[in-house]
Amino acid sequence: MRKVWEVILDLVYEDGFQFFGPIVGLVIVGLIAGVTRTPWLGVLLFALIALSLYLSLRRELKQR
Amino acid sequence: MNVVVVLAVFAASGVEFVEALTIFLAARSVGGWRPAIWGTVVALVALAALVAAFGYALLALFPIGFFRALVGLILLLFGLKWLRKAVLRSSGRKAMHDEALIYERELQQLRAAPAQNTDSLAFATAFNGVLLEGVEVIFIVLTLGANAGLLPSAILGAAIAFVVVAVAGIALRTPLSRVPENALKWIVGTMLSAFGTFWAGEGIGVHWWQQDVSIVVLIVLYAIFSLALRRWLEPGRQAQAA
Repeated sequence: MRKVWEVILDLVYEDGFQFFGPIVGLVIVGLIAGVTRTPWLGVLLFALIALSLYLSLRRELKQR
Repeated sequence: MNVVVVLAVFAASGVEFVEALTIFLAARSVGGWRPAIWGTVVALVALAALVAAFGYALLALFPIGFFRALVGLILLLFGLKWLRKAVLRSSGRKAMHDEALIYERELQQLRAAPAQNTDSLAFATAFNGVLLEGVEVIFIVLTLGANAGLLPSAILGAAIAFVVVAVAGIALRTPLSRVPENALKWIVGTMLSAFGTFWAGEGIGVHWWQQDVSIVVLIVLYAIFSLALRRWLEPGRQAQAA
């Protein structure tokens, strides 16, 4: 059985947007959550993750 | 025996068990029974060791927020990977899986080398999901059973919820196996992305609307968004745009 970290490294190599996008989104929302507790933070988190998925697919489209 | 505590723990832990079952079934559909069951068994052993080692001290010692964020992020990354592939395949940008061909190839690969990518994914997904939900059930049982004499009632409520959800999982096994592979990957990707977003968000301090109800909302949002992406990626539409 392959180690979990090898699977995660595969994700990084496959597409940086797909890997780092959600992490950047979580960091941004986490920083804002330290200041305010608005329920709209969930919407912002979803929007940032959705944006990283969109950018990842757009990159794939341009490469073809 | 306190009936109110039994019912309260049954309801609260039932929600967590349903979430764990969803993750387990998702892992099984991608990597098969073996890695999913192993992931679950190892998580249950880890949970038993945690309770045996710390008992009530778990409530004070365990960094549940950090743990939620970490597990949520891992599930989110796995979920997005599957969702992306399913969108590319269903839009025609990537070759669809031929079920029979894939089955034969998988079988040959399994015979040639037992170490497979999907095994690790399924193991890690089942392990993370069951461990996180298990910790949450332990927190529920310890918190609600904290008053003297109420722990047996809390344990009974959680045990009944576990049995009910396990029976439902066995009943769901056959219908799920009939879903086409790419559709299943799309469903799994949508659900893991939703669960991952929810848990990671909780871990970093997001206060979700109506708490666990937000998971359903996130599943719907990811489903709609991925369908829109699929439509956007269809070759005919791109040609029109150009």
